[in-house]
Amino acid sequence: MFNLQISKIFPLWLALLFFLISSAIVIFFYYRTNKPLSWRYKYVLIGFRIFSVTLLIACLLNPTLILKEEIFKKPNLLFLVDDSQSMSLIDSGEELSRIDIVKKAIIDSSTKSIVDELNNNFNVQLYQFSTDAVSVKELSLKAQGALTDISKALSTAINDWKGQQISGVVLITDGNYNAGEDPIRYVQKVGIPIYTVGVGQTKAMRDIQITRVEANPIAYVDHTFPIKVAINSGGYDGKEVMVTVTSGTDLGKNSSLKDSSLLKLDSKNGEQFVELKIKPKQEGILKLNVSITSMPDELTIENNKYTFFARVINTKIKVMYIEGNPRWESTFLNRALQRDPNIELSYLVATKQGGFYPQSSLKTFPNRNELFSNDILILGDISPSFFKNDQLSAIKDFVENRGGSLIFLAGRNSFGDGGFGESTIKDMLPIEIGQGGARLLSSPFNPILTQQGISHPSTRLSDDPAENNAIWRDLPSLNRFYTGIGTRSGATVLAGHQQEKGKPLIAFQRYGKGITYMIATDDLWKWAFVVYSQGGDDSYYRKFWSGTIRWLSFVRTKADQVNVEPSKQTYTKDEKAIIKAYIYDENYDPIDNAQIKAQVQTPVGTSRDIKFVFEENGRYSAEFTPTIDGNHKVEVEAEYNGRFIGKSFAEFIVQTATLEYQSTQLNETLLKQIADISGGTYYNINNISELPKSLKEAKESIVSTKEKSIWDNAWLLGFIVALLTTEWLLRKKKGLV
Amino acid sequence: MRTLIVIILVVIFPFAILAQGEKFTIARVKYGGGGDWYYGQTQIPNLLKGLRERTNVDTETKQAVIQLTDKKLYSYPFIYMTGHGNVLFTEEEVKALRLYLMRGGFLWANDDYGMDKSFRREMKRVFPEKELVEVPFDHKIYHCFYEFPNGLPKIHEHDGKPPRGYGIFHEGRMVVFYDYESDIADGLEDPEVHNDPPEKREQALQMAINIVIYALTN
Repeated sequence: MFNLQISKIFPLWLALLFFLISSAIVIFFYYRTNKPLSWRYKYVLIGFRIFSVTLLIACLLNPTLILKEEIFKKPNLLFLVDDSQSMSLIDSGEELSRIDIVKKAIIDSSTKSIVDELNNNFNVQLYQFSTDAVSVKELSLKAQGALTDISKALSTAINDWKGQQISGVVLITDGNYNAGEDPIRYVQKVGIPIYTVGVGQTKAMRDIQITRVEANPIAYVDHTFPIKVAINSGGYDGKEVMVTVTSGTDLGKNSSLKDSSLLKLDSKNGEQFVELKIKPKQEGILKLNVSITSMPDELTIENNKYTFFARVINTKIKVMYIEGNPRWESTFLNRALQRDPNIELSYLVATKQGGFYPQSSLKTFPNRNELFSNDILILGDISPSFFKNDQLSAIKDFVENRGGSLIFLAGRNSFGDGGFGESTIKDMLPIEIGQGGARLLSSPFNPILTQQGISHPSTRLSDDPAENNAIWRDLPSLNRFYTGIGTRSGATVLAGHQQEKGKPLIAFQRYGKGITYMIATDDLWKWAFVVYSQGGDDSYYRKFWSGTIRWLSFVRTKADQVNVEPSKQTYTKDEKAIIKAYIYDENYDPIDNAQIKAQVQTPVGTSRDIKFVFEENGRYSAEFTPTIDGNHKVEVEAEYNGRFIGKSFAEFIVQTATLEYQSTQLNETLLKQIADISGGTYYNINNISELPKSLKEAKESIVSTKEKSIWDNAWLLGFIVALLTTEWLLRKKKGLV
Repeated sequence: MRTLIVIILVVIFPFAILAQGEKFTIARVKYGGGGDWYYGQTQIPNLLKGLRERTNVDTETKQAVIQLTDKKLYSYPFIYMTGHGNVLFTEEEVKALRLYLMRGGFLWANDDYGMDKSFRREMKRVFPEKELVEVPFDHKIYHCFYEFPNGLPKIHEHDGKPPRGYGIFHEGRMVVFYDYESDIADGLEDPEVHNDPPEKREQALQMAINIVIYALTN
């Protein structure tokens, strides 16, 4: 099959017109030569000239030859088999484990194997997966993967064949994913038919399992730490079991904490809950083991235990918030701080009469000692004239000498005429306000993060800088902005105003041993309240405040310029741990080319050096892949220009996941949905022999198209030159001018 | 001429924005069903005036009026409804009110005699899983600015029944306060409207201030 196509830029009629005009000119001039010439000779010359002109015009038309070829290429078929631990279960009534059933069905079948059969019509690509899909020549299934991440398995396999046609994916699994994105969400995006094959039984088996444990990741010394254990059971109704939590034995004063409770099993109403309590005795990481009595004939006893970790800290962050104007900004901030389990809040609302509303936690302004027992003081929309002079100097001392942090919130009283900008503590403000107070601009704007703000712990709503910027951009716009003269020298601006360049919205400065921080709007409550997008809630508002409070208290407790944070508190073996370090100078400006020495101490006493790579804004990143379970400690030491900056450490835990046994039944619903959404079909492993038949119809032919330009070659050019040369030589011979 | 228009726009525009205001105000709910949602136009302005004079809450002079499906609803975390007649929410309004209250909004409903039956029915649609429960006398709403040791004051006599304060709670926070057989709002009106005695009007204003202060500080 082929087609000839000519240029669309140069119309055919124009080419014909050219041809006619140029031919007419040629004939006209040869008709009247300056020397007599025989007509035969003239015909030859005219022929040469017209032929070469014709060829040139034809070239301008860019004739292209289009060749179409139908190729029957075997389409790609990705064949994925689940190789996670849950595949090692033996379902009741079966003799073989799930993985052996799969092997028997697809490899060892006495007749021709399914894979061979599919290979007749498809280019079958074998993969086995638990998290990433691994391409293999032959399947070697061991059921050892500690996690199942179906969406990641699909995406890694599909991305391997990017740019090539994939006519389908066969997915053999029990559907028990316990990591990664919801596979349904992934499948909605891909548009490739997925043929799912389910292995296992859908009905509940004789089993008792701890499905999950709900507990705050932070516990407090000498405070009761509640633990809620969710239990699922089948086949043991009426039996009593003991649910126990114990702490590890190598935890010093926290060793051998214990609580237990009896539970009468009842499977009819779904999950049952048991509440346990312990009281940690000292700071550190607490490893807790929850267990439940096992029965002799259970499907597996792997899921009768559950290990998790909590970080024990000494006290909650103590925050005192004094507000002078009951307003929505204070209402929503109070609610957010009250809800944060790591904050102990004293909320004082001043009355017009100079006292505090009755529900405030204090009747009068705290004395020096009471004030100094806090970590952070927030001054809302309150006039400095509310405070006596010695109270203002106590506030100054609280930051300067005690190392507490002070947050100024903008408002008519605090930033306006007669506000803190004109008070005796005006130099505590990170902005300069000037006489007459800040000007209030009431028009919608969105905050713009500065370079520092993008990755600063206070304004970091996502670890990914681009995402963080996008989050700030998409938050509901704010309406009120208090603008002063500008930033105080030495202060760091985290966010600014869209239009008012150089005027800070969020800024802080080092003040003595502490930090002062300010927010130049009283409209942040919109982020807590306004429904700004589908599913949007107040989580970013709370994240902003808890991040800011945490950072400010961290500065106080450690005054660290070197901070190290693992991306998670717990990792599984062979999971890559990402560790971030943040390095600041004495003014808390980020340092970009610090020299970092770092090592990880493993639970067996060995240590391994890790290398931190600079990312941006004082942030560095290192990777570490643990090989043994237990508590790991990262130690980081930073230098800058040969000068010691500081050192710090962080801990994380490695534990082999038992997630694989938390949910054991075949998740047929999920697999049917995946097949439905993607346009595939669901099969049970027992009917897998039907799979090749229905896949045959999916086979497609591919038409490949090639374009070939005809004029674009040297021979043609040579030919035209040859024609013109010959004509010229002939003219020369006859003495024509 | 054009310069003049520009000058006029530059001068007027900021005021136009400021006039819209972001000081505290209360939005009156315009509901369907035939009841007199608009009844008592001096109630809220008088309450706002009282707040301005007696507390440090910075208030507007006027009330706002909204329907529950208005986008502007989220500019007003405190909404108010009253009437003598039938209240009927559309399906969209039921959903909008539920979300609004769970997100942090507050509704004060005042039974002006005759709204009780339909109001209760509609609130059951908004919160099928929650009850209107009687608010105990030791609750903050009776003590957060003025002291009401015996709970809700009786402002206007209808049936001689005792006044009752009811609430709906979400995550520990009162999201709806409903006064029944008291008619607080009656005592907020200008004195000539109902000729309520001064001490009744004072009690009504004090209780209404407490309701606002509770919503603003909890």
